Amino acid sequence: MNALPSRPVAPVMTHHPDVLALTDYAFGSLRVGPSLVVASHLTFCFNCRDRVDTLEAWGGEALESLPPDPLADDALDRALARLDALPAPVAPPALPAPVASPAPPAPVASPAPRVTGEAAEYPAPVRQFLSPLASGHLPWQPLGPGIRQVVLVKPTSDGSCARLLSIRPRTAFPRHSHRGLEYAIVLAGGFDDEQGRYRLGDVAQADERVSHRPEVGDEPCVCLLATTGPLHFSSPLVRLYASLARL
Amino acid sequence: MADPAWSRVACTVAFPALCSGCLSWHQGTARPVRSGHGALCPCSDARLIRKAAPPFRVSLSWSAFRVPLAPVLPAGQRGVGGVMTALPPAPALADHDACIQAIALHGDREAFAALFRHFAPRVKAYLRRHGAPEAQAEELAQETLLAVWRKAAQFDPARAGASTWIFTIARNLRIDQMRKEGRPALDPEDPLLVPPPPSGADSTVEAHEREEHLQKGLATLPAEQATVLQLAFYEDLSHTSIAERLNLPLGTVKSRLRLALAKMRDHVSKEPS
Ligand SMILES: [Zn+2]
Repeated sequence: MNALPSRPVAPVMTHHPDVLALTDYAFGSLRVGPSLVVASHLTFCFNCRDRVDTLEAWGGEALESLPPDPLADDALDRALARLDALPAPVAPPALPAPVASPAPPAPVASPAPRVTGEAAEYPAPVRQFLSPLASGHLPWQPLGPGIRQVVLVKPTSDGSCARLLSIRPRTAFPRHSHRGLEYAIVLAGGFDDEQGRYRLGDVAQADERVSHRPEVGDEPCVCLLATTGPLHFSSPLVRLYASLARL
Repeated sequence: MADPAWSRVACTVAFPALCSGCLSWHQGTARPVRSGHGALCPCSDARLIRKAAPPFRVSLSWSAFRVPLAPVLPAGQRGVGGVMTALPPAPALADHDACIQAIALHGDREAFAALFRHFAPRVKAYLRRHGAPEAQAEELAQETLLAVWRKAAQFDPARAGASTWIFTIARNLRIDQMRKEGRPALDPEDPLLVPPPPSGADSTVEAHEREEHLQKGLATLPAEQATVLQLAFYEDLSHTSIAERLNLPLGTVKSRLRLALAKMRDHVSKEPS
């Protein structure tokens, strides 16, 4: 695992994605933004990795019992032809001894490309999203006083989107409620809200019933925010600004 | 569950299994599923899920959950007669593991074809059920099996069985596909994006300036647009309520709001940083 060179593995997560989120992630029915949050959490959290492993075993079992949906007649021939274009699989030199802590699962199919600059500090799933930005500094856009963002998943018609937020120390994200589900994971620093204290790798989930005002402490905070519906800010000026910034 | 005799049958789960209802771990006594394929959590009646942990994987498989349908045991008779013990792994499953290993060791095309025939239609069915269109499901099923070929050397039967491993490849390809569909968001040249960040750190002073700048922008709007914006953002009214309040057609409200936002966005983009 080449990720997170300078960052110690967080000891114990206190806030995990809920059972529904883990299950939906494992079965592939979670939307892409929330999947990104869950996959990033798995990089930090051994316990949830274990749960997802189990659910995936169930998924494998389900795959076996699904009624097959036949492919085109020439599908196998085409696949075999495509194999010729691939290098022969390379056998491993020798089976390595089982490691105490298994590598985090690859949350997306292709291997995480090398990303340099500030993006290199984030877990592989996030790097995967940032890879088109290649290297160097991320294209942060101002979102409000002390808050910057990089949009990872542009808001879709159903209102779901994902963005990286960078929040200056001792700054509060404006009070808001939710018109859908919100999943946030801390990638640096941390924040506190009415629900608790969130640190590296912790996931905060909120729904329509929650109104909160996350506050960043003495360290700058970077978090990944995925929503399945628009945020609703309590302040009209913030609402207007958010609308201009397409938040 | 209506059959009282059946409800008294117990089985033994010989390894930690996860309850899909309470997501807690169980081992030992449980209740078999009537069909004979699986076991139920003794407390929540939800299905138990096998744990594919290395120590158990070798000698046990899902088939360990299989229990003969007859005879139904009388109450109290548990233990040897009623115990559902581990059966040897189902050969079909073991074959799939071996196929992947054959690909890893000597690029076995026969083994690939066998895997393809078994899994590709199932992966396609899985993707279709998750809303992938026919052509995309077909293509991703192909991609999944090609990834099996490429990654065969990474397959570790101690960690997960063939079907689980292939399932996760398909699932990850699906997420990857959704990511690609969302990729336009990453285009830094997108003219819709809010302008690049000001150099230097934000400051409270800047925040005030930003607010002032926004207010100035509001002041430059034609009155009819400013009114609509005012109602939408300061009084938090829906488009419909605004239309009722101003006695305007809904379409007019929407177009005024759109114009106002476009002007404001333009104004903000000229913000001196
Ligand atoms: Zn966790």
